[in-house]
Amino acid sequence: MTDRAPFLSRRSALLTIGGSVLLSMVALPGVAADEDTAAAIRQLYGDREPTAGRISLQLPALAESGNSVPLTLTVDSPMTATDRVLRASVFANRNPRPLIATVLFGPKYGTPTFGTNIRLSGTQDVIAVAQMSDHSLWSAQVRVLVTVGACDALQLRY
Amino acid sequence: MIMHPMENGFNFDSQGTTIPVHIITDFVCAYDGAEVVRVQLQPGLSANPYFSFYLTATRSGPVDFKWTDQDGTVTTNSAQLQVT
Repeated sequence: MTDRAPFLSRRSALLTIGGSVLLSMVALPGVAADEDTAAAIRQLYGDREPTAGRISLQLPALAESGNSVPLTLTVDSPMTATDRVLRASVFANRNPRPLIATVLFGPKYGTPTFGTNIRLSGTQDVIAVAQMSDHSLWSAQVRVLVTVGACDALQLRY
Repeated sequence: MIMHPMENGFNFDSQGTTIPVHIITDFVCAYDGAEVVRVQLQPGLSANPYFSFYLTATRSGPVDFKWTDQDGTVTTNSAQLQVT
């Protein structure tokens, strides 16, 4: 009996690995979990939790197509030599890859507003994180309803 | 703004094979010898990536834009800024 137990556990371990590989293959263009977004934020900004505030995210409340969703990020900062924004990142918590872009603000940057167009795979929260020159972290979160996600729309080829 | 497909690796061609990721990874705008903004792009940005931003103009000088593709292709553009 003693030599049978490890065999069983190895088989069950192999089954578990096989199952998880299959699952990950099926869910390849799938959605990220909240942990993935948190991990992406940690990877860029460290373990400190950002405080909500000082960022304004302007996004449409309802986006018909997720292929190109206009986004405007404004950080509440005087942008002086000593008090300014160093960098900001945008995340979408249900995209296959949560990180969308990181913006590094140089010394000649004017009004701390940045606009671009992003892809959203579906209805989800868009999160922005900014780091100030005093190394404080700030965040904002906005919910966007997406009728046709970026991934679906491209597979349908309309 | 630059014309670029920004393929995100989740699309399929007519044969059903996956189109590999093909994106711009880096955008830099420099003015008066200093970097104004640098953007690190991911596949989550739309095709033909568009950015709007502000720079503090102190004197006339060239504003240089540089886009770097994932395979190292560099596209540059420049505009002359006149401060009167």
